[in-house]
Amino acid sequence: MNPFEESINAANGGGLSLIGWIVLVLSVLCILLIIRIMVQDPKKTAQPFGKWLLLLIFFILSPMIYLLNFSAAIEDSKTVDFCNSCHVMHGYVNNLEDPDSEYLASEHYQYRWIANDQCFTCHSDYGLFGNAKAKMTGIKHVWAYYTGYETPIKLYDTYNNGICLRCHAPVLGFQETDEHIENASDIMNSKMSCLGIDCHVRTHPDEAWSEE
Amino acid sequence: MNSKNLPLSHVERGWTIGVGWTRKVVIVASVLNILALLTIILSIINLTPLTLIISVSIGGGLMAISIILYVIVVVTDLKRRGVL
Repeated sequence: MNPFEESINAANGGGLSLIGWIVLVLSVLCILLIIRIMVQDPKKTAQPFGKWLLLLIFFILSPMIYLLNFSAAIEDSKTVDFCNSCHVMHGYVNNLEDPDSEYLASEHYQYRWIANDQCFTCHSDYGLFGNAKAKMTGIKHVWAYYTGYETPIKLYDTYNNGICLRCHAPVLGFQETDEHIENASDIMNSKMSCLGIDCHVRTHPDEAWSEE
Repeated sequence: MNSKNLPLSHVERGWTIGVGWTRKVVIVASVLNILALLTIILSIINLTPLTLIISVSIGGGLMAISIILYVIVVVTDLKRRGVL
């Protein structure tokens, strides 16, 4: 038994969120009300109370449930657990959670340099459409997951250094490093990757995709 | 009271949502709505990429169809009552 389990669960936001509970309760309530209206005498359905109740369910409660669920699900889909629900990601997440791993992503995860949603934070662009673009790419991933994909899996494009710079650029130590000053333009344009033999260690193990 | 001095039935009052073909449409709309809500519950209980897409796309589609069907019933009902 981990004595810090409660704090760990709180940090990971474990369990169903408040919005999740609201959606669940309202959905069950609507289903029960609809069934009750349907099985009762048709004449009662035709009376104002039945009509207003159906109107409330169809036009207010159901769309509200859908929108609440949409916003909650989009938010919850940023978590590491969500990414790990596809088996192709198991190797990557196992490495993240390995305390002995020295890969860059694992260190960011282990030392909580990124507090939450570590996969999403490093794999979504910043800016107005960053999240939307990441979600569209996610749909593409699901399609590829069920229809087949090339292995080893790799990024569609060159990694955007802007994602690293968002946190690292304001740090004085980063700004004063000679290599960063010399290659500032190429780093800014993502022409030169932050990762590699001469610079920083790789983010994930090459063979992570093949792990079950 | 009607011409036979009996209380007005729901049809005579113009409340037609629960009778005839409109009742069948209401039942179809209700079933579709229940299915949509079940897909939403599925993604709440077990959020995976697949359940998320099912709840957002299929659930949303079923809910939209059920709402459209109910709009048709409401408009028909209002026309019968002479409101529209």
